[in-house]
Amino acid sequence: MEGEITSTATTTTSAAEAVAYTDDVLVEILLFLPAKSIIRFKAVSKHWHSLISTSSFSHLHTLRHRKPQPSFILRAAPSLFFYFNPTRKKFLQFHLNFAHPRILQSCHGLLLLECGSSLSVNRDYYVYNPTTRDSRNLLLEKESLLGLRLAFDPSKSPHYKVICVSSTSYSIHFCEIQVYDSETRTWKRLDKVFTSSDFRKFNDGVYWNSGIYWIASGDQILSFDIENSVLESSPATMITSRGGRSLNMVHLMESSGWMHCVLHKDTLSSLLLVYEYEVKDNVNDWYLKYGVSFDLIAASFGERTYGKISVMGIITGERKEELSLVFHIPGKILVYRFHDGSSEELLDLRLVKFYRERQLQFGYHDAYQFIESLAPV
Amino acid sequence: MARKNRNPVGKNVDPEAQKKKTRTLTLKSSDGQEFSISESAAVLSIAIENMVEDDCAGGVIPLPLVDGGTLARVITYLNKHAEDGASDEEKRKFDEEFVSGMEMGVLFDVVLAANYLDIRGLLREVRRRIADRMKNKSVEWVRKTFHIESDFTPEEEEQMKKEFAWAWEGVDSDVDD
Repeated sequence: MEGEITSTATTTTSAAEAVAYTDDVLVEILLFLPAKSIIRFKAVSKHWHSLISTSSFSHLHTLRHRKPQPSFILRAAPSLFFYFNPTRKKFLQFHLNFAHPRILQSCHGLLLLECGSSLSVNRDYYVYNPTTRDSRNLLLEKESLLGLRLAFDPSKSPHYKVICVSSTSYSIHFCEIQVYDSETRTWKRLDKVFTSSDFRKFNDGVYWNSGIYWIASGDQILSFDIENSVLESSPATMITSRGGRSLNMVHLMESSGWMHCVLHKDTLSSLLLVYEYEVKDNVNDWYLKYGVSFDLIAASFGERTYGKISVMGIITGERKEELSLVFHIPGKILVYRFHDGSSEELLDLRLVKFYRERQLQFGYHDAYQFIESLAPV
Repeated sequence: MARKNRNPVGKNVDPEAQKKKTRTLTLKSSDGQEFSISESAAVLSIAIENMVEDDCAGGVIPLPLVDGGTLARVITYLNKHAEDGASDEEKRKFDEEFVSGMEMGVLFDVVLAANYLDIRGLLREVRRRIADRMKNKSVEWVRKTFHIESDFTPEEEEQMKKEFAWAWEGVDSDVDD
């Protein structure tokens, strides 16, 4: 080595090669890159590809890049998906290489997929990372499935759990729960039996603070604590009483560590109310954080909502406190920033093939967060 | 100082630390250049500290894997970080400026030297800076910069580009910055 280094020019060449082929030096550099660059640089060479594809690299990278800016996966037609980046305003087709895929949930970088035609009895369920395109078949054989939810928080563990609720063999009024652990790759049935009606809307649930939360029938928020297998309920009258008859949408959403309840009222120029779940005086409850009129925002862009709105998500900006609401009205994707009241058009959908006047191009259940992450499945 | 001496615990100025400040070492680069540096600055490199502790230094420390130009840069870094009274903010600003003007080739030299000499702070700074430069660059730029020949077939490469189209979006032009 000593003899080789004789002039600046050769130093540079040999130094570049030394860095490119000294794995520990190279890996430490690559760990600073965002997932998007990592995915692209897998194409540099086979050596880089294998270095980047190890599970230890994925794990370290996931721990170092905890809160990437989310993009979205949008479903325009049964097998037509798009990638949408709200920061860069980019809209590209996204290929999901599964037969009749349906996204059930997005959770901190991983997606839960149901695959198989609606006519088929045999459906497959996968945990899928849209960044790396790696997937794992959950090998779930259930005919009487009531709900399926994914629980993954890379800041707590590199492993995820899947909670499966299905009717008991003896009565549809009772259900049982199985939990899949990605670490052991096994399903485990809980000893307890639950009431089926409580889990009716389990599939609308979000994973937040170590539990699955969903709005049950009536004025209840139910939560299932995964570690302790406990079902808890808390009143949500504060929210439901606001809605009354004009309430046409209530959704729970998780974003950057917060859980929000988004409530859309058709009267009063399409009002959206956002509640945040927080602890005040030792009591967990919902507190009204923001209110915004879709019609007024749409009007500022010379658009009308025609009463059709699809809330895509609440995302954080550069600063964690700066929340923005990304939503879709016929022909447009808009963003409204709560902290300064500004709004912006992110995408004009009137030129896409699937555009229909006065119609939404995709509904609430067609928009999922795409969080760039190398998390192993 | 006098007041400190009266401290019952006897928290005096460490005579060893004082000695390190005044004692100088000579570092010898691969191309035979010699640099003097205070021991307190030199031992910010874990590798040099070990050599000093093992007493295999004998006055001149040969560093056969670091050339003179790179060693001069590393010494500038070490001196700043060993400087009395330099605040963390000042050091942070220095670090920022220290790496900002370096070309990729120089960054590679420095990262290898920092790795060999085990200088943690410098390593982190240079790694971050290299990654920053790479972040929005094309695959071709990376191959050229790291002197790597692709061993993928054009078809394989095309396939990756198609499957991960979103990751190829928003790439800078290949002009060096």
